[in-house]
Order: sequence, then structure tokens, then C-alpha cells
Amino acid sequence: MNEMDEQLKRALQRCEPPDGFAERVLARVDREPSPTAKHLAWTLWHRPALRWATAAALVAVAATGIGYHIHQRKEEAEAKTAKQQVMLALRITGSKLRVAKQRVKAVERGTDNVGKTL
Amino acid sequence: MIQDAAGFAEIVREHQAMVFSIALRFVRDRSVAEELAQDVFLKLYRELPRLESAEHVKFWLRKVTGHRALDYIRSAHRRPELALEEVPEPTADGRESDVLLESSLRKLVSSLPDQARAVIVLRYQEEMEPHEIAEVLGVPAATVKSRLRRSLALLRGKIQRFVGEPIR
Repeated sequence: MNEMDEQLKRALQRCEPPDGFAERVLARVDREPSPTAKHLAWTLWHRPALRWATAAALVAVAATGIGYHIHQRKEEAEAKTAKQQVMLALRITGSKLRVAKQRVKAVERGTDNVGKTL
Repeated sequence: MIQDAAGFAEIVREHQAMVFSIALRFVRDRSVAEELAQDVFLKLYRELPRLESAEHVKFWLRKVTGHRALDYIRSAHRRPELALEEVPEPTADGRESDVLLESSLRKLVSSLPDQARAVIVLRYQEEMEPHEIAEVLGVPAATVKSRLRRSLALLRGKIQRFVGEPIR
């Protein structure tokens, strides 16, 4: 170390801040929210395991939602098919009943004619 | 490293001279230096849970103070380099002359360009090694070494012009 280095070190000694500096800093700190809550949020986000767990939970929630949606759609489709089948069955039954009624009427008319003839 | 209020107060008292001195010698204005130093400690309070040790706190304080002060200088650019006429003449022998020489040296350092002043302050006030200065300033160690060489040469030139004789 040469003469200039020594002189610079002596000349550039640290100097104290104005009186009451620490108190003014602490007063400003008192107005700050506790760093603990912020730290917790930061920690949760910046820990890889927790980040992966959060991502996995989000994927699980999304998958459950999609699964539920698909299930709902399937049930709706099945209900629609069943309704169509019931309507078809009712239509078939209705037409069969009409045919049967016409035949009954025809038979009744034939019997009347026989009775009249006798 | 989560600290309670008492622990944080202790940290402020332990490092206030370091933070204030770096800020003051970078920005060359006491009121700005105090405001800047307060901001640094406030930021420290927010960051404290993430700092792992006392050494980490010290390194963090030097780094953030350096960055903030250099940012201020870059944005302000309002103070011209001090003219040598403002520096008092060194006189007399003995301790009195040492005091005057030190005072003159401080003013000559203060008149250096921003980057030169930054490396000189960190090297001689904080007694940091070039690789530590490199980490604080975010530049390669080789850059710090060359800046130190150039800054010292510049300072020697100023001293020689000022006192009329070279300092080795």
C-alpha cells in the first residue's frame, strides 16, 4: 500500500449522518405494514415446491370443471334421446290405437248390418 | 432473517454511517444523501426477511446505496464537478496539515467524475476489493480495476496541479 492509498483511506473515513437519523428512519418504518405478510406471499410464490403444488391444484380444478361440463353435456344428450324415443313411442301407440279404434268401429258397423238383416 | 423492530433499529444504527457516507460521497449533498439513506433503510426493512445473514445485509446495503446514488446522479446531473478554486490551500506542518490535506483530498475526490468517484469511495472508504466493487456496481472486476487505475491517475494529476508536487 503506497502513500496515496493511506492518505485516501484517512481522508475518506466514514462520516456520521445528521442527529436523529435512525429515529427518522424508524418513524418511517413504523408507518410501513409488517414485512411478514408480504414475506409469506413472496415465500409461497417463490418456493418451487409450492409453486408446482399451486399449478397442480389449478390443473386439477380445471380438469374437474371440464369433466363436469362433459358429464353434463352427455346427460343432456341422453335425456334428449330418451325424450325423442318416448315421443316416438307415443306417436306409434297413438297411430296403433287409431287403427284399432277404426277396426272396432268397422266390426261394430258389420254387426249392426247383420242384426238389421236378421 | 426476520427481525423485530428492536433488531431492525440495531441494524440501522450499525450501518447508518456506512450508508450515509456512501450516499454523501456519491451525491455530494447532505440532505439528498440523508433522504437517499432513509429510502435505502426503508427498502431494507421490506427486504429483510429475504436476507440470510449479517454479511448479506451489509452487502445488500452497499449495493442498493450505490445503485440508488448512481441513479440519482444520472437523473439529476445538476451538480457540476467542483472547481479546484473551491478547495482550500493546504498550509502548515504536523497534524493540522494532515487535516487540511485530508480535507483537500476529500474535495479532490469529490471533484472526480461520477464513475471514478464511485470506485474510489468504495475502494478507500469501504475498503472493498475490486471483485466486491464489481458485484456492487454490476460490472466485471477487470472494468473495476481499469477504472481504479484511471481514477487514481486522474486524482494524482489533480493533486499535482493543486499542491504542486506529486504524491506516490
